[in-house]
Amino acid sequence: MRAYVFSDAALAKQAGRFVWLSIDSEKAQNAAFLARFPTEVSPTLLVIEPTAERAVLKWGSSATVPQLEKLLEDGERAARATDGAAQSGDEVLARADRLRADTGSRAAAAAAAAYQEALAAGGPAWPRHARAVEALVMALDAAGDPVSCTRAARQHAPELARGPSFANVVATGLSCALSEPAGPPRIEDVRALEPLAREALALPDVLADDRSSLYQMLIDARTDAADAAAAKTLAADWLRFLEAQAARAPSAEARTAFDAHLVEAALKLGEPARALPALEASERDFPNDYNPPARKALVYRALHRPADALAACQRALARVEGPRRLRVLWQLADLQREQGDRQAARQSVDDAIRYAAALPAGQRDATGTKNALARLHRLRDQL
Amino acid sequence: MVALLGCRDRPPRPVAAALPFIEDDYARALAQARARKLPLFVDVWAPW
Repeated sequence: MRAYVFSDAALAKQAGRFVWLSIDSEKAQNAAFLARFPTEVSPTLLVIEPTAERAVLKWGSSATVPQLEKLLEDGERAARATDGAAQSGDEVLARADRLRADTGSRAAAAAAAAYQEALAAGGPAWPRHARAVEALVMALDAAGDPVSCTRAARQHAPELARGPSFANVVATGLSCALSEPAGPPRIEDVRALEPLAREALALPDVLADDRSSLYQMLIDARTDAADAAAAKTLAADWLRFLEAQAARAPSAEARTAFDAHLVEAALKLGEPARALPALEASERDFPNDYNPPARKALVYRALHRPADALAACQRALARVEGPRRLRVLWQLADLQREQGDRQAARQSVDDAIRYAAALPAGQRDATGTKNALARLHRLRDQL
Repeated sequence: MVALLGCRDRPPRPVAAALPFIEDDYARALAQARARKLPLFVDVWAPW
C-alpha cells in the first residue's frame, strides 16, 4: 500500500482528517504499541480514538484508494460512536468495527455477529453492503471459524458488484475453505469458490498484490485437488503476471513489492532461476535490506547451490534485527544442517533462542515469535 | 522456508506518501491527535 496507495495524490485531500502514523512492526521501539494494539496480519490499518486511546476500527487487508476513502469515513464514524444502542446499518457497522478492533478471537466472533446485524439492518441496497461483507468474512477468519467464513463468502460473494471487495471476499473465503478439515464439505466449498476467484482475477480494478494472492489461492486449490498440471499452468501465468508487473513498476520500491510472490511463483513452477534477476536488482538497489539476500538463499537452495545459499543467508543475517532475525537464523541453521555441519546449525538455533528471550515483551509474546520459537525447538531436536 | 517469503511485502524505507505519516512515533502522533482533536490512522506494516 505504501508504494501504490498511500502515495496516490488523490489521497492528499484526506490529510487533514486524521493524524497519520506508520508503524514498522519489526522495530523494537514499536513493541509497546503492538503490545497495546496487537495485529494478526500485515498490513493492518487501525483507527484509534485518541482521548480514550481505543482502537475503533481494524482492517487486516490492503485497500484500493476508493476502499480506503470509505474506511476513513467509517473510522471517523466509529471514533464518534458510543457502545450504546445502534439502529441503522451505518450505526451497527460502527459498533461492529469497534468490536473488531478489540483483541482476540472472541472479539472477532462478536464483531462477526455484529457485521451480520449490520447487513440485516442496512439491506441489500445499503452503500456499505460490500464493505460489511468483507469485514464479516475477515472477522470470521480471525475468529478461527473457517467453516462459517467459507459459508459467508459463498452466500454473499455472488451478489456483490465485481470489484476489489468481491475479490477480497472470494480470496478470504477460498483461504478459509482450504483451512477446513479434509473431506467432502471442503472439496465442495473449494469447488464453489474457485470459479469466483478466477472471475476476480480478471477484474481490472483489483490491486496487483491482491490479484497475486488470488493466483496463490487458486494454485493451492488445484494442489489440494491433486491437479498438478493445472497448478503448474497457474504458476506459469502467475509468474508471467508478476514479471510484467515488476517490469512496469514506477519505482524500485514498488518493484520490490513483487519479490516475495515472484520467488514463490518461480519455486512453484519449478523454475527458481527466473526469480534471480529481480532479487539481484533489489539487493543492488537496497543494500541494507535483508529480504533480497534471504530470498536469494531460498532460490539458491532450490537450484542446489549450497555455498551461494549459505553466503546469501549470512548477508541477510548481517542486516536483520527484530523477530524476523529468528526466521533468518532458522533458515541458516537448516542450511547448515543440510550441509552436514550440525555443530554450526546447533549454534545458530541457540543464538536464535537466546535472541528471542531478549526481545521486548510486545515482540517476544507475538504469535509469530512463538511460532518461530516452536519451529526452532523442533529443529534443535533433530540436531 | 516458504513462510519467510511473506505476503504483503514492503521494504523498510521512508514512505513517499500523499499523506503526512509520522514514522514509528506513537507518543508524538497521539499527542498531535489529542491536540488537534482528530482520530489517529495507523498503518501497521512489516518489511517483508
